[in-house]
Amino acid sequence: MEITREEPVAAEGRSRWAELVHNIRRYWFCYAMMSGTFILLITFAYYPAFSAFYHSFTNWDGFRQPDWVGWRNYRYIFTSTEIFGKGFRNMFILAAWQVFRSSVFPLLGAALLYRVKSEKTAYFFRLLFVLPIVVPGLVGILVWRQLYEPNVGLFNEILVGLGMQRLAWLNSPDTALFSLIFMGFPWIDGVGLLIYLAGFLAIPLEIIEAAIMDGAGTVRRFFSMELPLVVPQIRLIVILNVIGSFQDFGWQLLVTRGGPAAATTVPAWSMYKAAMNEGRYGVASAIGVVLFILIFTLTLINHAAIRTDIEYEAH
Amino acid sequence: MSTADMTQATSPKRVSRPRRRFRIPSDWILSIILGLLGFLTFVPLLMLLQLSLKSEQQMADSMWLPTFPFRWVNYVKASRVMGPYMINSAVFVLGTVTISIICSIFSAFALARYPFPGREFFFIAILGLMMIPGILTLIPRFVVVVNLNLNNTYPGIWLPMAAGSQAFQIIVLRTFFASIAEEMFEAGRLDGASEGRMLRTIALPLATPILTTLIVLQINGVYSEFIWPIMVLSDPTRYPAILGVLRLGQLITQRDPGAQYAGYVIAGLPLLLLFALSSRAFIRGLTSGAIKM
Repeated sequence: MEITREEPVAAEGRSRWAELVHNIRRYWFCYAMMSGTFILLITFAYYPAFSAFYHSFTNWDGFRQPDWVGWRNYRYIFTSTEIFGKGFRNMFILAAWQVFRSSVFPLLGAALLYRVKSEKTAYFFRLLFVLPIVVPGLVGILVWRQLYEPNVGLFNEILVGLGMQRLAWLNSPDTALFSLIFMGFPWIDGVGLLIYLAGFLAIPLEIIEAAIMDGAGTVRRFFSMELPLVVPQIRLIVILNVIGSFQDFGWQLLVTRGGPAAATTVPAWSMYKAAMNEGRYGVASAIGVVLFILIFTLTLINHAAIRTDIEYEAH
Repeated sequence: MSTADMTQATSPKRVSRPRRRFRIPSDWILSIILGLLGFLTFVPLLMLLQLSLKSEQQMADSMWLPTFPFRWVNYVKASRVMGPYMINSAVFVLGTVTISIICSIFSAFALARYPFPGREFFFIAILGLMMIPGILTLIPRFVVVVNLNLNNTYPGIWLPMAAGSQAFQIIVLRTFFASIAEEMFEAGRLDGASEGRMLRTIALPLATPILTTLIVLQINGVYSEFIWPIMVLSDPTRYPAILGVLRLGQLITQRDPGAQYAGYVIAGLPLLLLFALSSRAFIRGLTSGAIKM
């Protein structure tokens, strides 16, 4: 996309090389303007990314000159029951739930909100569902930990009130992962809701009117019209949530430390632990690379999804 | 690519809705269902609020139902502890946002308006960052910070976090700057304005709404970030408010869990305030954040 008419002047008789030098000198200030960004990026993004790949093949301890160890770190990851056996299993379970929670409930909320006729009521509920977003993740985790507390926690009080057995929640390997999954129930994610709602509101009125003329009821309209039309949004939200959940280890860092008995461990947490607690930066780098490959694949799928979005808009 | 998607996701155009003559369930029923869902979503927060207003005795009597009188003194105690951490947070947020926004404005303006040699290369180098997830660089980034002797310092928070938001900010701003009509700059040039002056007097005022959105989004992100500060800051007195929360237990006497919960609430207040002041920019930012990877 050409955005300026100030084309580089191709002076007669000057070689391409001289012209390049001329243009570099003429636009020297552009490089100066970008210098801040690129100093930051080289130091804290490009170099670390390179460093992760390179050091994943070494026995790096973070600071001393490392030795090349070939695929040893990767072999270690894929033979470790904690990292590969449990960690990846947990990660995929959590991600699968993330798919469910980022699609079903926010979509339901948006579909209901879309049908509210009064602008004021719609605005009120929109605000209501968005508001929890401002609660910092750490505070959310600490509050939920309290709700799960085995002795005086809210959930066990409710279970006792209903005449049922107490659960150990985060303290038992059987229920710990479930407790992580259940956090945030009923999972009306505000961002998802807003994006689905925007998708619904973008459906042209003529289509809705035509459907109503044809006698389509409210449920029928949802499943055969509104739902198919927000599929691009669903795909986008789901993939972004999955990418986010692959990288998340807040619960593990703050509360569970991956336990009890590695029941809640995820690769991202193993990575953090390998580096920060055990000094095995090479192993940590290798876990980072494996996660990168997984996420990169999903990002490519996501980009394909964005492309379909635009096609849908263009039609 | 990103912008087309963003406009689609972010501008919930209030198309006039199908009104009365269509048979759809009444607002009344919908409100009950939505209200119920909303209430369930808020239960943890309501629980936090009522806990923050209790004495230990009141908690022993009834943990999960509100008791009276409310112990507002919990907030006084907690705010005394949280004060210094709030100042740390303010320093982190101000530093990161300032560095990050200044760098991305300059880069985005250069990329959008001047055909300098290598422009495509630099832009692709920035776009490519969207493909690098934070988890890949987390550990090596930490080592870089240690090697630069930036651990346990403010720049150790500012610079890496500013670097982390460059790609998104530059892509959004570049698209915006590129959309400003060249005639405006042409006119400025005729009046003898320098390039820097045109950035200041033409481009920036027009970009105010989009800058607000980016800034609000970044404040939200930096304020809530806890993993990076835990790694970089070895001196807990430098913790931001969000981590100060973890130390409330030790700092307030053990006998006062209510004050601890009050501290959780206080840690959440700045973002609530930000939301109240700029809900429009906030919502726009969050929905556009969906394209961030």
